[in-house]
Amino acid sequence: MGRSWFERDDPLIDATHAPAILLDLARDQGLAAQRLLGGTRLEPDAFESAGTRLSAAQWLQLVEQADQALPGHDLAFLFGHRLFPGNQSEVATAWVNAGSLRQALAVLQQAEILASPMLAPRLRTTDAGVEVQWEDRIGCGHARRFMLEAWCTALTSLVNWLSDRRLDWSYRFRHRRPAYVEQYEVHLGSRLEFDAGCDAMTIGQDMLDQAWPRHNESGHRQAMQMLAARLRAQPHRDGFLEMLAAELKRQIRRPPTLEQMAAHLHMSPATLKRKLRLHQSSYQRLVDAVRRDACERLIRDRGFSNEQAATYLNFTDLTNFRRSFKRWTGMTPSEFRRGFTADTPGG
Amino acid sequence: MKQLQLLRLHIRKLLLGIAVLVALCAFNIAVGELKPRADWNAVDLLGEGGTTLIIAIWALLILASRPAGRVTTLLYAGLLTMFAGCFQDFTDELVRMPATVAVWHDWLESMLMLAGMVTLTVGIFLLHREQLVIINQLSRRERIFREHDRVDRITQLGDAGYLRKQLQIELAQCNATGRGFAVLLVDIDRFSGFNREHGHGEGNRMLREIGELMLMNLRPADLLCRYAGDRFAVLMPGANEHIAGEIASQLTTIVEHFSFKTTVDGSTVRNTVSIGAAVSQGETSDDLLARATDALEQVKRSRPGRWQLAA
Repeated sequence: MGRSWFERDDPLIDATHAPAILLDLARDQGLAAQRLLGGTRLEPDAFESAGTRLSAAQWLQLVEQADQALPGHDLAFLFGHRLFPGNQSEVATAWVNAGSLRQALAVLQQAEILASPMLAPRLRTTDAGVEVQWEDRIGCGHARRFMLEAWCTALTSLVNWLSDRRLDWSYRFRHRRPAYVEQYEVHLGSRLEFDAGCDAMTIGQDMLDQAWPRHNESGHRQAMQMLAARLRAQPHRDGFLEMLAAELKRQIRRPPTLEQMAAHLHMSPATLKRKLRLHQSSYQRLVDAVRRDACERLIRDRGFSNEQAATYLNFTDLTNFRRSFKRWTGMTPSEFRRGFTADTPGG
Repeated sequence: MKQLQLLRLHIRKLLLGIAVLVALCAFNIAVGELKPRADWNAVDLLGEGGTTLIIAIWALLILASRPAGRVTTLLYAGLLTMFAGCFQDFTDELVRMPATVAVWHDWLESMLMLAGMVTLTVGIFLLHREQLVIINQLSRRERIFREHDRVDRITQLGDAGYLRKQLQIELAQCNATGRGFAVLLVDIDRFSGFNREHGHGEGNRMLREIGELMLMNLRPADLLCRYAGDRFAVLMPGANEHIAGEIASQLTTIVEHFSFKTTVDGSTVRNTVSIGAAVSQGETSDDLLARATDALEQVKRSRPGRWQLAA
């Protein structure tokens, strides 16, 4: 494989990691493995010993089948509680011995695909605090919400356990407020925002360096070194959409056209379009998502005025800017400003 | 699978049903003679045949959904007798009885239908009495109406969807009569840690037991639901701040005194719950729940194991 990214059908996730945990959970809830695996061309024993790698497509299918076969809305959250620290020894050891939230987040960032194969965790420090943004690596399609619910719960539950307290995260999701919002309240917390510009969880900076009870510095450091060595042996590749989004972010002020992007990736525009479709996306959707997120951050985190944001993002005029903003968010820029200024005091 | 388990209790009844069917067929073949095809009436055949088949399905569903007992026997006997009547009505369309038999055969047919219906009616009346007993047993678990797909599979309590419906009913009542109500949100402290330490099977068992414990300590008119995860909700019709606070305080105390025993070695695990309470101010159910949630979050942050009334 000459490419520097991975696609839907490339082997990716060790079956004994997250997939085995999902299989156990489904079994606990009375769902036979055969029924869950139907159509994935996987055998139950593949989940018991290392070696089998699921492609993103197989993993997404497995998740969708589990979600459909089991009643209720709590599967993703229950799965999330079981997910971390997980059963990959370097990652789990580095986490269990972490001394603070800062160290725990460093493990997540370092482990990347090992800890979170479908959603790329992006750490960022803003005025509001530290943010973990979950970026779709590969086009999760219908399973996107499930993945977000599970991985947000996983990180929340892990750091609560390690810190021995309840850390107050705020969450933003791009999807609409679900009918079963009580699951979010109980498993994540009540600071929730839906229809947002990105999928992210944020916590105050003052939480970063508070000391945790299970801290073991040498254990943590050794595990981090082993993890680094493992990643040197198997270098990390970005997912197809993740790679495109990174490329677009690099040129956020003047995003390349589809043709330019295709030329940059040494493929024909038709191939790029076909691959995007295969990954449940389209070029316009990707450009819109990246520009919307950037625009909201300029306004929210850096206090840009409309003029400044429009100039930065190279809109021809303010009317055009307002129209695009409305199309992305369903709000005018001033409505958007009111929304987050009204929210800040008292959460 | 559960359905087949219940059917296994009723093998003798099923055999009796088959015997009745075989006997009726044998009687018709021995005594009657087949009518010529030209005399068959398609509409009658479809109508009477369909009715017969549906009664048979009812009888099977009754057996598959009930444990053995007097009520089940009566319901089944009634349906089986009606089945026999209908079956003869149906075969009339296909088979001609000799004149000597025809008169009492018609009479028997009608009497079978009537006897079956009377038996079934007695059965349904007893079913009604049985239902009153069950409703009493389900007190504090369900109220006013029943929706089986809204029952949580672990605690056998209604879920958040059921609670929201009940809140809307209560809100309408409140607007009509002025009677207030309160909601408690009850959260088990450190439940996630318990799961990590003792396993999720034990976690589920603890949820069930704490649920049972709370049921015993509520007023007869109260409703307990499983909101989500380790959070329960109590709907308290007619409760004001004072009553809500009193019950909340009692719930925190009884859970504190409850010693859960693990399966592995029977060792004791102590628990506490934090409670957020809110008395309705006539707002929407979502807003009411949001106030209770805020109160709960405050308690959990500042003094877990206690309760707090929403502002």
